[in-house]
Amino acid sequence: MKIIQSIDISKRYVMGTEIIDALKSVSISVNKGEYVAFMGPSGSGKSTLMNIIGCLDTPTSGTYILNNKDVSDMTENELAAIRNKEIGFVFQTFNLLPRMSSLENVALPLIYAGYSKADRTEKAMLALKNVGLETRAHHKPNELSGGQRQRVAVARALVNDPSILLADEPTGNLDTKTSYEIMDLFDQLYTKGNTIVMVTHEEDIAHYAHRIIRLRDGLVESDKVNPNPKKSGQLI
Amino acid sequence: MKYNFVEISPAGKVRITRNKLIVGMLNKPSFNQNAYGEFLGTLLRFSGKNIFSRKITILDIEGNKVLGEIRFENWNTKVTIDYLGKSYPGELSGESGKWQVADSELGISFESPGLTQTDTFFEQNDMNPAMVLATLYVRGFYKMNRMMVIGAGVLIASVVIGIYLISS
Repeated sequence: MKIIQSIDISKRYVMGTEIIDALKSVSISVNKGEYVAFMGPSGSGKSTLMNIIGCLDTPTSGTYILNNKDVSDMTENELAAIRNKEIGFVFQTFNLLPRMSSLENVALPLIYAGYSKADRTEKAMLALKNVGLETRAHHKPNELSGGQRQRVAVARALVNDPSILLADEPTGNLDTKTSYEIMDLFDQLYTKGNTIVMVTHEEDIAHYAHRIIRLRDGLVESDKVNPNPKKSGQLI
Repeated sequence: MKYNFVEISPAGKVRITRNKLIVGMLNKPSFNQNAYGEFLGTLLRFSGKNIFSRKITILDIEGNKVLGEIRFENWNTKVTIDYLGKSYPGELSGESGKWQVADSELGISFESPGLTQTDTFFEQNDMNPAMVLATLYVRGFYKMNRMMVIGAGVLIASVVIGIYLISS
Protein backbone atom coordinates (compact mmCIF):
# COMPACT_ATOMS: atom_id res chain seq x y z
CA MET A 1 0.00 0.00 0.00
CA LYS A 2 1.39 3.38 -1.03
CA ILE A 3 1.62 5.92 1.79
CA ILE A 4 3.42 8.59 -0.23
CA GLN A 5 2.91 9.11 -3.94
CA SER A 6 4.29 12.12 -5.72
CA ILE A 7 3.42 12.41 -9.42
CA ASP A 8 5.42 14.86 -11.54
CA ILE A 9 5.91 17.23 -8.65
CA SER A 10 7.62 20.50 -9.48
CA LYS A 11 8.42 23.45 -7.28
CA ARG A 12 9.39 26.79 -8.70
CA TYR A 13 10.52 29.79 -6.66
CA VAL A 14 10.60 33.26 -8.15
CA MET A 15 13.14 35.44 -6.36
CA GLY A 16 13.07 38.86 -7.99
CA THR A 17 14.05 38.27 -11.59
CA GLU A 18 15.52 34.86 -10.85
CA ILE A 19 13.50 31.68 -11.30
CA ILE A 20 14.63 28.64 -9.34
CA ASP A 21 13.28 25.22 -10.21
CA ALA A 22 13.90 23.49 -6.90
CA LEU A 23 12.11 20.33 -8.05
CA LYS A 24 11.60 19.27 -11.65
CA SER A 25 8.87 16.71 -12.21
CA VAL A 26 9.74 14.35 -9.38
CA SER A 27 7.76 11.11 -9.15
CA ILE A 28 8.38 8.80 -6.23
CA SER A 29 6.31 6.52 -4.09
CA VAL A 30 6.88 5.10 -0.63
CA ASN A 31 5.00 2.05 0.59
CA LYS A 32 3.64 1.56 4.07
CA GLY A 33 6.36 0.13 6.29
CA GLU A 34 9.29 1.32 4.15
CA TYR A 35 12.41 2.93 5.57
CA VAL A 36 13.73 5.51 3.12
CA ALA A 37 16.61 7.98 3.25
CA PHE A 38 16.76 11.09 1.09
CA MET A 39 20.24 12.25 0.25
CA GLY A 40 21.64 15.00 -1.86
CA PRO A 41 23.99 17.94 -1.84
CA SER A 42 22.91 21.47 -0.97
CA GLY A 43 20.53 22.76 -3.65
CA SER A 44 19.53 19.25 -4.75
CA GLY A 45 15.89 19.78 -3.79
CA LYS A 46 15.79 17.39 -0.83
CA SER A 47 14.58 20.03 1.65
CA THR A 48 11.91 21.17 -0.83
CA LEU A 49 10.77 17.59 -1.31
CA MET A 50 10.69 17.03 2.47
CA ASN A 51 8.64 20.22 2.91
CA ILE A 52 6.11 18.91 0.38
CA ILE A 53 6.07 15.37 1.79
CA GLY A 54 5.54 16.85 5.26
CA CYS A 55 2.64 18.96 3.90
CA LEU A 56 4.48 22.10 5.00
CA ASP A 57 4.56 23.37 1.43
CA THR A 58 2.59 22.72 -1.74
CA PRO A 59 3.99 21.88 -5.18
CA THR A 60 3.79 24.39 -8.04
CA SER A 61 2.53 21.56 -10.26
CA GLY A 62 1.96 17.84 -9.98
CA THR A 63 0.03 15.68 -7.56
CA TYR A 64 0.90 14.56 -4.05
CA ILE A 65 -1.14 11.77 -2.52
CA LEU A 66 -0.58 11.05 1.17
CA ASN A 67 -2.29 8.01 2.61
CA ASN A 68 -4.85 8.00 -0.25
CA LYS A 69 -5.65 11.70 0.11
CA ASP A 70 -4.74 14.15 -2.63
CA VAL A 71 -3.13 16.93 -0.61
CA SER A 72 -1.75 18.97 -3.54
CA ASP A 73 -4.76 21.29 -3.69
CA MET A 74 -5.68 21.36 -0.01
CA THR A 75 -6.08 24.65 1.82
CA GLU A 76 -3.57 25.59 4.52
CA ASN A 77 -6.14 24.74 7.18
CA GLU A 78 -6.69 21.29 5.74
CA LEU A 79 -2.93 20.74 5.47
CA ALA A 80 -2.49 21.62 9.14
CA ALA A 81 -5.07 18.98 10.09
CA ILE A 82 -3.32 16.40 7.87
CA ARG A 83 0.06 17.18 9.44
CA ASN A 84 -1.41 16.78 12.88
CA LYS A 85 -2.88 13.36 12.13
CA GLU A 86 -0.59 11.77 9.58
CA ILE A 87 2.94 12.95 10.27
CA GLY A 88 5.26 12.61 13.22
CA PHE A 89 8.22 14.96 12.92
CA VAL A 90 11.63 14.31 14.44
CA PHE A 91 13.95 17.29 14.26
CA GLN A 92 17.67 17.67 14.69
CA THR A 93 17.03 19.49 17.97
CA PHE A 94 15.09 17.50 20.52
CA ASN A 95 12.83 20.36 21.65
CA LEU A 96 11.87 18.78 24.94
CA LEU A 97 10.43 21.05 27.59
CA PRO A 98 13.07 21.18 30.34
CA ARG A 99 10.78 21.21 33.40
CA MET A 100 8.67 18.31 32.23
CA SER A 101 9.46 14.63 32.69
CA SER A 102 9.94 12.35 29.67
CA LEU A 103 6.42 11.06 30.20
CA GLU A 104 4.93 14.57 30.28
CA ASN A 105 6.89 15.60 27.18
CA VAL A 106 5.66 12.57 25.26
CA ALA A 107 2.08 13.10 26.49
CA LEU A 108 2.03 16.73 25.33
CA PRO A 109 0.67 16.10 21.80
CA LEU A 110 -2.13 14.06 23.39
CA ILE A 111 -3.32 17.11 25.34
CA TYR A 112 -3.94 18.79 22.00
CA ALA A 113 -5.67 15.66 20.74
CA GLY A 114 -8.14 15.78 23.64
CA TYR A 115 -7.22 12.57 25.50
CA SER A 116 -8.06 12.18 29.19
CA LYS A 117 -5.15 12.25 31.67
CA ALA A 118 -5.32 8.50 32.27
CA ASP A 119 -5.31 7.76 28.52
CA ARG A 120 -2.47 10.23 27.96
CA THR A 121 -0.34 8.55 30.61
CA GLU A 122 -1.06 5.08 29.24
CA LYS A 123 -0.32 6.02 25.62
CA ALA A 124 2.78 8.04 26.51
CA MET A 125 4.14 5.19 28.65
CA LEU A 126 3.57 2.76 25.76
CA ALA A 127 5.40 5.12 23.38
CA LEU A 128 8.31 5.36 25.83
CA LYS A 129 8.34 1.56 26.12
CA ASN A 130 8.54 1.38 22.31
CA VAL A 131 11.76 3.38 22.38
CA GLY A 132 13.13 1.47 25.37
CA LEU A 133 12.84 4.29 27.88
CA GLU A 134 10.04 3.20 30.20
CA THR A 135 12.46 3.24 33.12
CA ARG A 136 13.30 6.90 32.41
CA ALA A 137 9.66 8.05 32.26
CA HIS A 138 9.96 10.34 35.28
CA HIS A 139 13.37 11.77 34.42
CA LYS A 140 13.67 15.31 33.16
CA PRO A 141 15.62 16.06 29.94
CA ASN A 142 18.72 17.27 31.86
CA GLU A 143 18.86 13.86 33.57
CA LEU A 144 19.03 12.07 30.21
CA SER A 145 21.86 11.55 27.72
CA GLY A 146 21.66 13.08 24.20
CA GLY A 147 20.59 9.74 22.74
CA GLN A 148 17.90 9.28 25.39
CA ARG A 149 16.57 12.78 24.71
CA GLN A 150 16.28 12.00 21.01
CA ARG A 151 14.50 8.75 21.93
CA VAL A 152 11.98 10.76 23.94
CA ALA A 153 11.55 13.06 20.91
CA VAL A 154 10.92 10.01 18.72
CA ALA A 155 8.39 8.66 21.25
CA ARG A 156 6.63 12.04 21.20
CA ALA A 157 6.51 11.96 17.38
CA LEU A 158 4.98 8.48 17.45
CA VAL A 159 2.51 8.89 20.29
CA ASN A 160 -0.37 9.94 17.99
CA ASP A 161 0.21 6.91 15.71
CA PRO A 162 1.11 8.90 12.59
CA SER A 163 1.27 7.29 9.13
CA ILE A 164 4.86 8.43 8.62
CA LEU A 165 7.78 9.34 10.81
CA LEU A 166 9.59 12.19 9.08
CA ALA A 167 13.08 12.77 10.42
CA ASP A 168 15.26 15.73 9.50
CA GLU A 169 18.93 14.96 10.21
CA PRO A 170 17.93 12.99 13.34
CA THR A 171 21.53 12.37 14.31
CA GLY A 172 22.82 15.85 13.48
CA ASN A 173 23.27 16.80 17.14
CA LEU A 174 24.64 13.50 18.35
CA ASP A 175 28.07 11.92 18.59
CA THR A 176 28.86 8.85 16.48
CA LYS A 177 28.08 6.26 19.14
CA THR A 178 24.75 7.87 20.03
CA SER A 179 23.92 8.28 16.33
CA TYR A 180 24.23 4.51 15.93
CA GLU A 181 21.97 4.07 18.96
CA ILE A 182 19.27 6.20 17.30
CA MET A 183 19.69 4.37 14.01
CA ASP A 184 19.27 1.13 15.92
CA LEU A 185 16.01 2.51 17.30
CA PHE A 186 14.84 3.48 13.80
CA ASP A 187 15.60 -0.06 12.68
CA GLN A 188 13.48 -1.45 15.52
CA LEU A 189 10.64 0.93 14.63
CA TYR A 190 10.91 -0.18 11.00
CA THR A 191 10.74 -3.81 12.09
CA LYS A 192 7.55 -2.97 14.02
CA GLY A 193 5.98 -1.68 10.78
CA ASN A 194 6.51 2.08 11.02
CA THR A 195 7.09 4.04 7.82
CA ILE A 196 10.23 6.14 8.16
CA VAL A 197 11.42 8.88 5.84
CA MET A 198 14.72 10.45 6.83
CA VAL A 199 16.78 13.29 5.38
CA THR A 200 20.48 13.09 6.01
CA HIS A 201 23.65 14.31 4.43
CA GLU A 202 25.66 11.59 6.19
CA GLU A 203 26.37 8.65 3.88
CA ASP A 204 27.04 6.46 6.89
CA ILE A 205 23.61 7.19 8.42
CA ALA A 206 21.74 6.84 5.10
CA HIS A 207 23.00 3.26 4.83
CA TYR A 208 20.80 2.25 7.76
CA ALA A 209 17.76 2.85 5.53
CA HIS A 210 16.44 0.08 3.33
CA ARG A 211 16.07 2.38 0.33
CA ILE A 212 18.14 5.41 -0.61
CA ILE A 213 16.81 8.14 -2.91
CA ARG A 214 19.44 10.56 -4.16
CA LEU A 215 18.49 13.95 -5.51
CA ARG A 216 20.53 16.32 -7.63
CA ASP A 217 19.52 19.59 -9.28
CA GLY A 218 15.85 19.05 -8.50
CA LEU A 219 15.72 15.59 -10.05
CA VAL A 220 15.87 12.05 -8.69
CA GLU A 221 19.39 10.96 -9.55
CA SER A 222 18.96 7.42 -8.23
CA ASP A 223 16.41 5.42 -6.29
CA LYS A 224 17.84 2.14 -5.07
CA VAL A 225 16.97 -0.54 -2.59
CA ASN A 226 19.79 -0.91 -0.08
CA PRO A 227 20.57 -4.64 -0.26
CA ASN A 228 22.58 -4.61 2.98
CA PRO A 229 21.17 -2.08 5.42
CA LYS A 230 23.59 -1.31 8.20
CA LYS A 231 22.96 -2.63 11.65
CA SER A 232 23.87 -0.89 14.86
CA GLY A 233 27.50 0.09 15.11
CA GLN A 234 28.49 -1.38 11.76
CA LEU A 235 30.80 0.67 9.62
CA ILE A 236 30.32 0.87 5.86
CA MET B 1 19.55 27.15 17.79
CA LYS B 2 19.08 29.77 15.07
CA TYR B 3 15.99 29.76 12.88
CA ASN B 4 15.28 31.81 9.78
CA PHE B 5 12.24 34.02 9.95
CA VAL B 6 10.50 35.27 6.81
CA GLU B 7 7.43 37.48 6.98
CA ILE B 8 5.23 36.74 3.99
CA SER B 9 2.49 39.28 4.73
CA PRO B 10 2.60 42.35 7.00
CA ALA B 11 -0.32 41.17 9.16
CA GLY B 12 1.73 38.30 10.48
CA LYS B 13 1.94 35.50 7.95
CA VAL B 14 5.30 34.03 8.82
CA ARG B 15 7.45 31.11 7.76
CA ILE B 16 10.21 29.63 9.93
CA THR B 17 12.94 27.50 8.42
CA ARG B 18 16.14 25.79 9.45
CA ASN B 19 18.53 24.87 6.66
CA LYS B 20 15.73 25.47 4.12
CA LEU B 21 13.48 22.95 5.83
CA ILE B 22 10.22 24.47 7.02
CA VAL B 23 9.91 23.92 10.76
CA GLY B 24 7.17 26.39 11.51
CA MET B 25 4.66 28.89 10.27
CA LEU B 26 2.09 31.35 11.45
CA ASN B 27 -0.86 32.04 9.20
CA LYS B 28 -2.73 35.12 10.28
CA PRO B 29 -5.01 36.79 7.77
CA SER B 30 -5.02 40.60 7.54
CA PHE B 31 -7.52 42.38 9.77
CA ASN B 32 -8.61 39.23 11.52
CA GLN B 33 -7.56 37.97 14.93
CA ASN B 34 -7.82 34.31 14.00
CA ALA B 35 -4.66 32.45 13.11
CA TYR B 36 -3.04 29.07 13.22
CA GLY B 37 0.58 28.33 13.77
CA GLU B 38 3.04 25.58 14.28
CA PHE B 39 6.64 25.35 15.37
CA LEU B 40 8.73 22.23 15.81
CA GLY B 41 5.71 19.96 15.91
CA THR B 42 3.57 22.12 18.23
CA LEU B 43 0.37 23.09 16.42
CA LEU B 44 -1.93 25.80 17.79
CA ARG B 45 -4.81 28.01 16.83
CA PHE B 46 -5.44 31.59 18.00
CA SER B 47 -8.90 33.06 18.08
CA GLY B 48 -10.27 36.52 18.87
CA LYS B 49 -13.88 37.66 18.74
CA ASN B 50 -13.23 40.70 16.51
CA ILE B 51 -10.46 43.07 15.48
CA PHE B 52 -10.94 45.11 18.67
CA SER B 53 -10.64 42.10 20.93
CA ARG B 54 -7.84 42.34 23.48
CA LYS B 55 -8.22 38.78 24.67
CA ILE B 56 -7.13 36.00 22.34
CA THR B 57 -7.92 32.37 23.03
CA ILE B 58 -5.24 29.75 22.38
CA LEU B 59 -6.73 26.48 21.12
CA ASP B 60 -5.51 23.13 19.85
CA ILE B 61 -5.18 22.87 16.06
CA GLU B 62 -8.66 21.35 15.70
CA GLY B 63 -10.06 24.39 17.50
CA ASN B 64 -11.78 22.20 20.10
CA LYS B 65 -9.76 22.50 23.29
CA VAL B 66 -8.87 25.78 25.01
CA LEU B 67 -5.21 25.69 26.07
CA GLY B 68 -4.78 29.25 27.23
CA GLU B 69 -5.19 32.92 26.38
CA ILE B 70 -3.28 36.07 25.49
CA ARG B 71 -4.32 39.28 27.22
CA PHE B 72 -3.13 42.61 25.86
CA GLU B 73 -2.64 45.29 28.50
CA ASN B 74 -1.28 48.79 28.99
CA TRP B 75 -2.24 50.16 25.55
CA ASN B 76 -1.09 46.96 23.90
CA THR B 77 2.48 47.33 25.09
CA LYS B 78 2.29 44.42 27.55
CA VAL B 79 0.80 40.96 27.37
CA THR B 80 0.16 38.08 29.67
CA ILE B 81 0.11 34.69 28.04
CA ASP B 82 -1.51 31.93 30.04
CA TYR B 83 -0.76 28.52 28.62
CA LEU B 84 -1.48 25.11 30.14
CA GLY B 85 -1.69 26.50 33.65
CA LYS B 86 1.43 28.64 33.48
CA SER B 87 1.67 32.41 33.06
CA TYR B 88 4.23 34.12 30.80
CA PRO B 89 4.60 37.92 30.93
CA GLY B 90 5.60 39.78 27.80
CA GLU B 91 6.33 43.33 26.79
CA LEU B 92 7.27 45.47 23.88
CA SER B 93 11.02 45.79 23.92
CA GLY B 94 12.32 49.07 22.51
CA GLU B 95 11.49 51.14 19.47
CA SER B 96 12.03 48.40 16.91
CA GLY B 97 8.85 46.65 17.96
CA LYS B 98 10.46 43.48 19.27
CA TRP B 99 8.38 41.54 21.75
CA GLN B 100 9.97 39.74 24.64
CA VAL B 101 8.16 36.97 26.49
CA ALA B 102 9.66 35.46 29.63
CA ASP B 103 9.50 32.11 31.33
CA SER B 104 10.30 33.24 34.87
CA GLU B 105 10.39 29.69 36.20
CA LEU B 106 13.25 28.80 33.85
CA GLY B 107 14.75 32.29 33.84
CA ILE B 108 14.71 32.46 30.04
CA SER B 109 13.01 34.67 27.49
CA PHE B 110 12.26 34.74 23.79
CA GLU B 111 12.49 37.86 21.68
CA SER B 112 10.62 38.22 18.40
CA PRO B 113 12.07 39.97 15.36
CA GLY B 114 11.24 43.68 15.14
CA LEU B 115 8.30 45.03 13.17
CA THR B 116 10.33 46.05 10.14
CA GLN B 117 12.43 42.88 10.04
CA THR B 118 10.90 40.70 7.36
CA ASP B 119 13.78 38.36 6.57
CA THR B 120 15.98 37.68 9.56
CA PHE B 121 16.62 35.01 12.16
CA PHE B 122 15.82 34.36 15.79
CA GLU B 123 17.28 32.23 18.54
CA GLN B 124 15.28 29.63 20.41
CA ASN B 125 16.68 27.17 22.85
CA ASP B 126 14.64 26.03 25.84
CA MET B 127 11.62 28.28 25.34
CA ASN B 128 8.41 26.34 24.85
CA PRO B 129 7.66 26.31 21.07
CA ALA B 130 4.07 27.32 21.93
CA MET B 131 5.43 30.51 23.51
CA VAL B 132 7.52 31.23 20.41
CA LEU B 133 4.34 30.99 18.35
CA ALA B 134 2.37 33.11 20.82
CA THR B 135 5.09 35.79 20.77
CA LEU B 136 5.11 35.86 16.97
CA TYR B 137 1.32 36.10 17.05
CA VAL B 138 1.58 39.06 19.46
CA ARG B 139 4.09 40.71 17.12
CA GLY B 140 1.67 40.30 14.18
CA PHE B 141 -1.25 41.56 16.27
CA TYR B 142 0.70 44.63 17.38
CA LYS B 143 1.90 45.34 13.85
CA MET B 144 -1.64 45.13 12.46
CA ASN B 145 -2.82 47.41 15.25
CA ARG B 146 -0.15 49.99 14.47
CA MET B 147 -1.07 49.87 10.79
CA MET B 148 -4.72 50.46 11.70
CA VAL B 149 -3.82 53.41 13.95
CA ILE B 150 -1.60 54.92 11.26
CA GLY B 151 -4.32 54.33 8.65
CA ALA B 152 -6.94 55.95 10.89
CA GLY B 153 -4.56 58.87 11.55
CA VAL B 154 -4.01 59.42 7.83
CA LEU B 155 -7.76 59.25 7.22
CA ILE B 156 -8.57 61.77 9.97
CA ALA B 157 -5.80 64.11 8.76
CA SER B 158 -7.14 63.89 5.19
CA VAL B 159 -10.67 64.69 6.36
CA VAL B 160 -9.45 67.64 8.48
CA ILE B 161 -7.36 69.01 5.59
CA GLY B 162 -10.30 68.48 3.21
CA ILE B 163 -12.69 70.37 5.52
CA TYR B 164 -10.13 73.14 5.97
CA LEU B 165 -9.63 73.47 2.20
CA ILE B 166 -13.38 73.50 1.50
CA SER B 167 -14.10 76.03 4.25
CA SER B 168 -11.28 78.35 3.18
